[in-house]
Amino acid sequence: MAGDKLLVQLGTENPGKTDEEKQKWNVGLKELIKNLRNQRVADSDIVAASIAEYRRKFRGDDYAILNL
Amino acid sequence: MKQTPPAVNEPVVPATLGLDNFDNSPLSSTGQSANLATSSGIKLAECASPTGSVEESGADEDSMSISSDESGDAETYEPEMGVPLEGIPAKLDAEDEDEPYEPMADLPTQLTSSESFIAHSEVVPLNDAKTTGSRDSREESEVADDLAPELQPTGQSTAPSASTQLRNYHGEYLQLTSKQDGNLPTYRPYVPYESPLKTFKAYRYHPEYSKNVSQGYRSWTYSHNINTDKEFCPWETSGGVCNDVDCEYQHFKDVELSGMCPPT
Repeated sequence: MAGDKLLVQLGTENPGKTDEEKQKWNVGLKELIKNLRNQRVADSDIVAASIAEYRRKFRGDDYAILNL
Repeated sequence: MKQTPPAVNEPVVPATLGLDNFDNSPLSSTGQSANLATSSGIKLAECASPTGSVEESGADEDSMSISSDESGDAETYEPEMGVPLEGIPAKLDAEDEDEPYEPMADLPTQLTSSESFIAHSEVVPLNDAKTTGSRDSREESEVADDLAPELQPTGQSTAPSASTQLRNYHGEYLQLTSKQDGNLPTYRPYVPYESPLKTFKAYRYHPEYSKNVSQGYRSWTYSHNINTDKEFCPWETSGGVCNDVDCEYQHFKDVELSGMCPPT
């Protein structure tokens, strides 16, 4: 897939603070990628947008973009 | 400025010498003393007749006539006896007694800093300081410089009129204000706020990222692999191509992500 490193950058930046949150992030990300594969989505932009939307839902704030 | 005692040197000095050049040498004849008094600026009463004034000495009256005409009374020699006042006009001495700092304003070459300050205050035409020229009006103009245009005294041209109201409605009032006070910045159109957080790579998680960045997630501005602690190769930054395998610097081919579009 083109832009695989981009997807790795987006997915590996774990926004969780504790180990439980980090584990929860990893489980949810695997579930997201599994659903995209089932839908046969090969466009990296769509996958990147899906990861960004998943992160916003995980943080609960659309504008908290930094891991502070 | 005390002279040497004339009784000691009087018989030694011959009369045939050119004594006009010797300022401090005492003289026996009153005619030579008159020339000496005019050239050296010594008080005539001390040289010619130590006991009395010039007019009281009857025998030397003819010889003293030249020096008395040139010197007048003893007050005319006082400036020459004191501290040299060559660069200051004579009228400043009379004004110095009443107002010591007033004559300094009449000397523009000696006070460049105050002159520039006064010139700066005159450049800003908030009051009619040029026409009045008095000190009080100048102080009022300096105070008014610090105030905002809307807080300035009401006696000026900022009073609302028909033309001023039109300028307010059509936006020309700001241009008129900038012309009055040169320190104010010129009017510029509205520029929307741009957050500095957009410089981070994490801006890719922002919901407005796809709308604001034309290249999307493929933009090299946000999607790159640049090592911020490593310097770029100077050959490549100068436009060349680095073929050195052992080059220790960072290269452009190493910072791009796979599948990303090249920078435009």
